[in-house]
Amino acid sequence: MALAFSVALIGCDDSPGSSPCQGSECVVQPDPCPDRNPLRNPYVGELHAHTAYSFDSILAGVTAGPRDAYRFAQGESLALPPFAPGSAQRTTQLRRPLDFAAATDHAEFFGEFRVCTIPGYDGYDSDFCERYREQIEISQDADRLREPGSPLPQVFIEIALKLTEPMPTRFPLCGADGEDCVAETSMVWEDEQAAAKEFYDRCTFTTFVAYEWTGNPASPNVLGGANIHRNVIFRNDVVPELPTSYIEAPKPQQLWSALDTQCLSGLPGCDVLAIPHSSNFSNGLMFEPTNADGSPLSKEDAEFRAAIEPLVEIHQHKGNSECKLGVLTNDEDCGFETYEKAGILDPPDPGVFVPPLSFARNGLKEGLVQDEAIGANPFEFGFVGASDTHNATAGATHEGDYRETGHIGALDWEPRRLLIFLAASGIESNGGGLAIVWAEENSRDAIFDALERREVYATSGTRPTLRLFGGWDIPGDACDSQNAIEIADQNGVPMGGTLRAPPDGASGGPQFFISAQQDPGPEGEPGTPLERIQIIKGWVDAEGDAQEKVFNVAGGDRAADVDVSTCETSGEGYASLCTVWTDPEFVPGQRAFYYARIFENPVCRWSTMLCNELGVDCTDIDNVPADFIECCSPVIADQRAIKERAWSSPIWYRPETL
Amino acid sequence: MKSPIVHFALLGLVLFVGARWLLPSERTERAPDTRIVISESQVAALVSRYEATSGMVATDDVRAGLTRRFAEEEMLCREAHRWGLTENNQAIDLRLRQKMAFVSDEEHSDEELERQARALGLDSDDAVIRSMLVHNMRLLLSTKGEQEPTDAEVQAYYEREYSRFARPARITGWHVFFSKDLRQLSAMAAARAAKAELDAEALRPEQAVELGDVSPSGAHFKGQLARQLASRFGEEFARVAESLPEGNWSDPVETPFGAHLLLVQERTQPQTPPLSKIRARVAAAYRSSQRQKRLATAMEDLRARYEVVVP
Repeated sequence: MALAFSVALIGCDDSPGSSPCQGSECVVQPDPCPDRNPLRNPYVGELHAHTAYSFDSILAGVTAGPRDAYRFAQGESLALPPFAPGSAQRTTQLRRPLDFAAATDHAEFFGEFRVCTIPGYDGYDSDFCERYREQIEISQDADRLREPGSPLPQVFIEIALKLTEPMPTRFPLCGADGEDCVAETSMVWEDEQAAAKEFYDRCTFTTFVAYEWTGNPASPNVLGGANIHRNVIFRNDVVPELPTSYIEAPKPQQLWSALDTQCLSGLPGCDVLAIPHSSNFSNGLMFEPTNADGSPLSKEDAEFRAAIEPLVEIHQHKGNSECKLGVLTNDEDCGFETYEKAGILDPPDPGVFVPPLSFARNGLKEGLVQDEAIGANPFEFGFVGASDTHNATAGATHEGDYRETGHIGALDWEPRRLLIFLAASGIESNGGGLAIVWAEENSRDAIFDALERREVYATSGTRPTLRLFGGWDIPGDACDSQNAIEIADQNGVPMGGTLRAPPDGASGGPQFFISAQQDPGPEGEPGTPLERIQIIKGWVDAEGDAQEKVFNVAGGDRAADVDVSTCETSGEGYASLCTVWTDPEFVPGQRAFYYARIFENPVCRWSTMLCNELGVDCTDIDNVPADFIECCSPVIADQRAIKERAWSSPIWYRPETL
Repeated sequence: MKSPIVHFALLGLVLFVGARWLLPSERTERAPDTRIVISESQVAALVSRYEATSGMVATDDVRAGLTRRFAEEEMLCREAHRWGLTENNQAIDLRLRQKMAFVSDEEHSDEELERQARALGLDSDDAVIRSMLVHNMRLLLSTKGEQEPTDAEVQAYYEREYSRFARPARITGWHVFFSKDLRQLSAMAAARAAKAELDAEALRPEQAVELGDVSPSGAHFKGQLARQLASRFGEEFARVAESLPEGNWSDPVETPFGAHLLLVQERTQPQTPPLSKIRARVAAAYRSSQRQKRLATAMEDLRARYEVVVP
C-alpha cells in the first residue's frame, strides 16, 4: 500500500543490514539484481509456514524455529519430532529449494507458551502449563506416543476454543492484565524479525517478517469456530512493535484498522498486506460483504479491504478453497482436496452444508455484485497457495514426501496418525501448495510489489509455469513468436490486472493470452505433463445475478491415466500449452472476472501411495489392520487419484472507463 | 481482594517454587562475593528439569555441563548486581511489584512494593529476573567498549571472511528449443541436425534460435541461478548450463519439454561483491563476531575470578 515511503527507506547499498539513509544523497535504488527482467521471472515461495513459535507446533513436539525454516527453505535438512528415545529419528529436506519464504507463526500465545516453559513465572505452575508441558514431552517421545490416546491433545482443544471467544481474554497464566504474556510476546516478535533479517539475501533468497492472525469465532453449526485466519506479511523490516492478534482484535476489521494505524498510516516506511486462508471452513464468513457490526459495506470499506487484502490463499494442507461442487457451481473439477467438514473440530462429512461464501470463486462473484451496487469491489483478490506446515518445513508440498513427513510434528508422524481423520492433519489433508510470483527480481520490494498487484499464482504443490495476460489488441498468433511474452505484456495487463471498457473500434471480446509449461520435476523424478488449460469466467447478468462458466481453451483429455494399485501413469499429455482465447460471450456492459486453471495428468494421491505401501487391501476388509482402516473410508477411496493444478490470479473487466 | 486462604496458598506456592533459591538453607552462598557454592539439591533440580524436558537421562557429562552453566549464570547474575543492572529496570520493577502484590494483603505504592520485594531478596532469587539479568549482563559484556567499526577493521574482516559473503554463480545464455509436443520422438534428431548446422556455420544466437521451435519461456536467459534454470527446464538443463564452456553450443540436452542446444555467454563464478556494495552486511557480521569474542574473553576472566564449589 504505502508505496510512497518505500523509496525513501532503501539503503545506501543492497545488503540487508543497510540502515535507512540520511539526507537526500542516499535516496537511490539498490543495484538491479543480475537476473532483473522487466518481463518478470517466476519465483517460487511459501507464505505460510509455522515454527516452534506457534503454540500448536510446540504441542506437536516441533523445536525448529524461524531460522530453521529459512535454512530448510534454502535446501538444508531438518530433524522432525519425535526425538526420543535416542536422537532425531526423522529428517527431511526439500527436493528443490525456494526463492522466498515467510515464517507465519500464530501471533496468539507467543507469550503464553514462553510463560509455560520458563520456570519462575507464576503461570508456569498453572495446571494448564503443566498439561501443556506434559503434552510437549509426549510429543517428543516415540514410546509415549505409542500409548493409546486422543489424536487431538486436550490442551490443543482448549487453546483452539480460546480462539472462538467473541471477547477473548488471555489465559489466567498470563498474570494481571496479561502482562507476563505481553512482555514475552515482544521477545518472540523481535526474534521473528531478527531471523527474517538475518536470512534475507537480496537477489538470492527473500524473507518477509510475518505472523498469522488466528481468528476462529464461534459460529452456528460448526465445532471449533469459523476459520477466518489471515497471514500478515510486511514489506520490510519496518514493522509495528507488537503483532496484532485475535486477543487484541477479534474482528478482521479491527485487525485491518490496527495495521492501518500501527503501520500503513502510523509508521513511515511500514507496508503490509493480509492474506486470508482456509475459507473452506469459514462457515461463509470469509467473503461476507458486511462490516464487523453487520452493516453493509460502503465504497470506502470495499476499497480499503481490497487494498489491504489483495490475495487469498486458496490451496493449503487443510484443503482447497476454490469452489465446491453443488455450492453455486456445477463444475465437476471442484471436488479437489475438499476437506469436507463444517468446522475444524467437526468430523468429516461429505454431505455437509457449506455456505457459498466459504469459497473464493463465490467470493469473486459476490465482489462483482458488490461493485455493481456500491461502485467498488471488496473481493478483488488474486490467488496464492501455501503449505501451512507446522514443522517449519517451508515449501514441503511434495505429494510423496507428505506421506512420510506430514505437517504437524508428532501428531501425524507415523502412518496410523496421518490416516486418522480427527487430527488437524489427517486423511483429508494434503501436502499443500505454493505461491509463484512474477517479479522483476528476487528482492523484498519486487516480490511485495508483485503480491500487491496480484501478479502471482497458486499451485497445489507442484511447479508448473503459468502466465495470463488480457487485452484488446493481443495478436491471435502471439504464441508463435519467440517474443510472445513481450507482445502479450505490451498489449495487455498481466494476471491480477483490470481491463477497462474496450477502446473505440474494438469488436468482440477481450483476448487472453495463456501460456503454461509443465513442472519439469525434481532430480530423478520427471514432472507430470499438463492436461488442459481452462478459463473460468464470472460475471453479473442483466438481472444482477452472478454467473460463472468454465471454458476449455487449450489441451484436452488424451486418455492419460494412473493405475492406483501401482501408481504407474500412462498416456500422453502436454509439456507446454499456449493459446490466445477470445471470450465468445462477451457483453460490453457486464462486469466480469477471468482466471486460468491448468491441470496436470492424474497421479496417485499421497494416501494412495501410503495405503499401497502398507499393503492395505480394501476388498479383504476383515484383514485390514485397525490402524489403517481409514484407507478404505470413502474420504480416501473417492480420491485415489488427483490432478495437481494451478490457478492464476484473475483479470477483471470493469465497463466503467477511468 | 483475595481471600486469606487463597492468599496463604499462594504464598506457599511462591515459597515452594522459589524454594531452591529463596530459603536460607538453600540459598546460593554469596559471601565472599566471588565464591559460588552449589548444593546437591540445586544440581538435582537442574538434572530433573533437564530430564523432564529432553526426555533423556542426564549423563555425567550433561550433569557437569548443567552445573557449569548454572555457575556461569550465577556469576553473570552477581556481576549484574555489581553493575547496578537491577536499578531503574522497568521490567524488573514490574516483576517485583507483581510478586509482592501477590503476597501482600495491604495496598502499597509501587515504590513500597519494590522496596519490600528487594528486602525479601526477591530481586536476586527470582528465576525470571535472573534470566533477564543474565541476558542483560551478557549483552553488556559483549558490547562493552563497542565502537562503530573502522573502515580498516571492516576491510580486514571482509578479506578474512571473503568466501562467506560470496554470491552463487549466475548464468546468461540462449537455448535453441525442439518441442516434444510438436515433434514427438524426432525432437532429439532435429536438435542433432541443428547442432551440425551450428558447427558448420557460426550464427548469432538470435539467428540460431530460428532453427528451433518457440520456447514458451523465451530463448534468452539472463543472470539465472542454476536452481532457477532447474525449476523451469529441469535438472539436466541446469547441469549443462553450469558446466558448459562459455561461447560453445552444447550437444542436445533432453528435458521433459524436448531437446535443447545451450549456449552460455557468461557465467559468473560464485563471487563476493566489492565491499562497497555490501559494507553494512559485512559490518554487522564483524560486530557480531567481535561481540562473541568479547563475551568469551569476559567469561574467561569471570571464571578465573570466581571460585566455584560443586558437590
